[in-house]
Amino acid sequence: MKTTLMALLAFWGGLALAGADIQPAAKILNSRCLDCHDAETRKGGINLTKLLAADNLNEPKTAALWEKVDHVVRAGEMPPKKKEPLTTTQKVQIAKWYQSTYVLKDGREHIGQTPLRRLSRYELINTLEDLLHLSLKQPYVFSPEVPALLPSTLETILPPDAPGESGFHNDAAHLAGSKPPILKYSQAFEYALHTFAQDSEARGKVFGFKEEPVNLADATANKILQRFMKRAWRGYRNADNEQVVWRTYQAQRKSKAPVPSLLHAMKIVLLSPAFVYRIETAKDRGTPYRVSAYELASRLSYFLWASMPDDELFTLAESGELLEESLLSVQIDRLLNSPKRLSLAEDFAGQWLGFSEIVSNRVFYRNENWNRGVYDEVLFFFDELIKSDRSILDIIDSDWLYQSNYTGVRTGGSVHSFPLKHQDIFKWRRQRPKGIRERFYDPPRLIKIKSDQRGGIITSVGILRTTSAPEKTNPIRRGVWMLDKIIGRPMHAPENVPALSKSEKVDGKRLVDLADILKAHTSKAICISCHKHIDPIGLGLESFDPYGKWRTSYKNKRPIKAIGQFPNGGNFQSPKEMKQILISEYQKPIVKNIVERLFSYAIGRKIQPYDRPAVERICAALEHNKFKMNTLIQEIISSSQFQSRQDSP
Amino acid sequence: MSKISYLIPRRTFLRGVGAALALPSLEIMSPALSYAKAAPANKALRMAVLFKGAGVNPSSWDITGATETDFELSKLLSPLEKNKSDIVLLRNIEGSGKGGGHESATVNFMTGQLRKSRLIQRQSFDQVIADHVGKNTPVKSLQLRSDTYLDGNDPAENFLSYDQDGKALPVEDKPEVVFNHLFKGFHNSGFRQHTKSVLDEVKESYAAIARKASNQDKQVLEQYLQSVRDVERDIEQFSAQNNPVRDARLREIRPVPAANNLADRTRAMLELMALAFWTDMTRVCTLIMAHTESRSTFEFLGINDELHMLSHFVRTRNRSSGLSGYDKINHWYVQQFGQFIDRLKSLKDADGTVFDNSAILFGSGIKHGDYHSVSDLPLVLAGGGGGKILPGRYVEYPNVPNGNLHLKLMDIMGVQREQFGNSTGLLTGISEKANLAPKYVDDGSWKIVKESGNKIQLKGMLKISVKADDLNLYLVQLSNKQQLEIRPSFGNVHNLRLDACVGSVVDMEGEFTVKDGRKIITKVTRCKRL
Repeated sequence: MKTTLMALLAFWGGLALAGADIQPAAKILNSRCLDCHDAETRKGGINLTKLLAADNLNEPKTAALWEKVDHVVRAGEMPPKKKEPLTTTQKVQIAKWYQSTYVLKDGREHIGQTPLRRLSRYELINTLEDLLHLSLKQPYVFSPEVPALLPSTLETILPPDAPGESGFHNDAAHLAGSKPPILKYSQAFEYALHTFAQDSEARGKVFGFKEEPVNLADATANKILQRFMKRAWRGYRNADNEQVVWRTYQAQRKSKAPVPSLLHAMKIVLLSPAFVYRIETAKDRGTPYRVSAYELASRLSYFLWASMPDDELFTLAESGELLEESLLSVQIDRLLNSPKRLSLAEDFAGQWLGFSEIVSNRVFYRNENWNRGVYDEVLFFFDELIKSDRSILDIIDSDWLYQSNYTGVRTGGSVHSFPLKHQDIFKWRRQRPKGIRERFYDPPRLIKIKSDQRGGIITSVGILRTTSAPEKTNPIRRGVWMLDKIIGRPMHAPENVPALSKSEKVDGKRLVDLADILKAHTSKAICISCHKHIDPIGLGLESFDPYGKWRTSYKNKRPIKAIGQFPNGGNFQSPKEMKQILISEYQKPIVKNIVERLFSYAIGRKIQPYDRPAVERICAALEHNKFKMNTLIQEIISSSQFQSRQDSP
Repeated sequence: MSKISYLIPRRTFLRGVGAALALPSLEIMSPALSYAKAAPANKALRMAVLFKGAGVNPSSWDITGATETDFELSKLLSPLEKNKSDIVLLRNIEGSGKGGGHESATVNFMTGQLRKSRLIQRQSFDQVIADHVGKNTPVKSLQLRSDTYLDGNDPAENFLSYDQDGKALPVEDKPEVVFNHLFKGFHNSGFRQHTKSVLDEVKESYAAIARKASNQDKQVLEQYLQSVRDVERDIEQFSAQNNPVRDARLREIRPVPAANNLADRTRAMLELMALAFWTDMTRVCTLIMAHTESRSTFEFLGINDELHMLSHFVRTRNRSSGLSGYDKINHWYVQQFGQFIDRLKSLKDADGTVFDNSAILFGSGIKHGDYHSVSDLPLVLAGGGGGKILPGRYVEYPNVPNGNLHLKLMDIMGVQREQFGNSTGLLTGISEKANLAPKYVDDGSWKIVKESGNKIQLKGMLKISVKADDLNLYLVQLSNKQQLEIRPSFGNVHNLRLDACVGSVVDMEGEFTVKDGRKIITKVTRCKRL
């Protein structure tokens, strides 16, 4: 039946016209849904009477509710099991109305308005490093006095970004919503250029000379600046803007030596909006059109490296070859083979899964090696998905992982013969400044797991620690984390219901086992709608203590019961079994969630209803290709959202 | 003397933080100040909010049997003994709604309204003030956090200050960054000049790009220009201000040391606030000392549990540090507040001390740590408010919305506004004696109204009694001096929001049992504040 539905949808999708008729869908809602969801009953807080009366369909709340209606009907969640289901025709009618109203535009797929993207702080620092051939980041130095990773100097100047609706710092709308910190930019660029001026190697690469010449021919200076502008503005050409920089240089030359004048002009290049923003040429079209080769080069490098394109990408952009599909895929492979791909683990996964808090949030500090080891375990794990093109479902469970010597957790696996490639990566982004001795640190190693206690990111020490209090696990926090981050079903703490109580009693007897307390608590009707999802996962992870170590009993000697049942009936006796149920029963939402997260990060905005066809295509491609990580990346890059622009929604 | 001693020379600072923190070479550590003709400094009023989320244990916080001028401090307020004449203790000021989750606690505290959405709220009262007084200072307002960032479900908990569009203002949590922000840059005339000339060129670059940009991109780029103009205006203002008092004070500024732990960070942030006020770098400042869901632990107090967990003291009664740990933490926070008061008093201002010209609000967005009631918020106001605060008092209001307090703070800061949040008018009894009649007078009608079977209806004053071994006891005071015990279940208190009625005369119905000849109400079925 599902295939028929999809086929019908595809058919109608092609034919549907603007201003679809709401009547058929309204009729179905009226006859089948309003019993429970009218203005008076409003079961679950859903008021469909109001929805049907809404005049502005684009109003966010209205659109969100329609999305929900469409979702529960498609997923078969509504009407509830005890009621008569909708007929296929009815389902199709609702889906068709939704699709033609919210997904398609004039009956065609589209990608919404492409936002102007400003560099996030992370991207800005990476870009400065690559542009000026410098190492500006903080090496891994944990000071016991500041029990966290020390911020780099640039991080003490530039304000942190807040995550936007997409959940990431590179969210275009959110960055556009806050004013660019010009004064901080100015100070940061001053610092970067000052560092650059003192580094003869870096200077040589940009200027072409190491010794400062007494005199510099205008033509040479112009060439240096032209090249610098092209790289800094990533191929964006604007003759007037170039003139501004050149005039600045000439004005400086009247009173200053060549190099200080060049440095001043370079500061203007960096402070130009063309550096801070990724400006693309708009054609003022309401339908998707392909971006230029230079623009594509930037989109690629900022997605995969969180930094500017390198020389090879620039060359291919210049010739236009980058737009050829065969060449593009070769380039994607090349980019993913570069250690710079670490940004995907560091920036994307770090924000998505929140594990970077292990090194940035002081509450999680234990000692330098422990924090570094725990962080690297997750960082390397995620990077391994890309490096060895593994299945994204390995995030849930895997027969391999990275193990650090410093976490006190032993899995008893065999060490893979692996060339410690990660050490290179490690050094690449966070080099020790000259003169500071590298402390001995043994990075985590890739191992083949023998025991079934571990596997996947969700049972890594990093995740288990950040979701616990220092001396006590918090199954609810762990469950909520998993639903939000992994299954893509964010839960919100209820405003009005009593939280878990230790004084929970049944028949006058105080309960002692956590599982029983949770059960008693959540059997209350008001709680169960959420807790039936949260609790099994949280309990399934009770075998791990707050520091991620395996345990079989609590401190009070009571045995751990990592036993539970998912709402759909799947039973498990151990974390391993729980993970297997997640993979088999929750595969679709998990895959969709991972796709949407990475897609959001790639295009710098929240996923919208009109992105659905693209998301569905990517999910389908993943299913056909063993959920391979690099398939996911390739498919995202192939999407029209990634390669095209559109100028009105 | 401990307040001054943590001002240490730069070298110590750098050694403390590690060489990697070396500051950008903007030649600002030794400011070349301009010496202009002295102009009288205006009387500058300052306003600060110290938010210590996660509520309190009401029994340890509340003051009983007091009058406006004759009061004994409670256990949690005892660190303010030496500051008794510096503060106004406020009772029965309440937030919007009925309490409940954490999501609204912070927003409610600052806007007098419940949270609007995950990302966008209404403008917070400090920003209303900053919009008016911020233009007189180089930095419009400071938003600080000494607690660690909270990766909660709800971003609203991470911020106190919201701008005109309801967007959260970024919060800085590293003292060294705040120091750079405040004391490096503007007061170096060379830096000002350099920046100004650079910005002229940046404007040209902007114009060249904007000419070719699409309409939609232009709107975003416009902000860039706006931001450039803001900096230009700030520079001009700073240059034109000729504030020799500020210049002299800035010369005395020494970096604050690196913060090693929560205690040090809290002190460093408070010190930075004091210095920012003293040098008139800003006049509005908010500090998150503790989130409502704070995950901080307090090893220096011997407490290894998260504050948020301890704040739910009824439910976490079996935890090791328990109620005593929770009280200890709140006691410590009040201590920090007291030291901040002393520090401001030690800083001479044009007219008296900085403290005399400040209004400091300390408090939490909820009362009872476990039940999250928003009535009778724990609040202390300190400072002279430039003569607009009459300190040394304890004021028991009839239940008043916190918007009225926000309006009063605006008024003290010279901002006139008709309405804010849940306000019903300007809070009286701050600049002058309140002389309020007691909220309730026992007219002899507090008694058991009806009794049949195990059902009971009564009227009386609801009180709370939290003891280490008896965490959930409520009492109803009757006219005959008798106190009826209520021993409800957790869910009962929570669902009826019984805690929000504490301190009020209530009309109550419930079920009771008799034990040792005493009636004990075991379940409350209705409770109405009269």
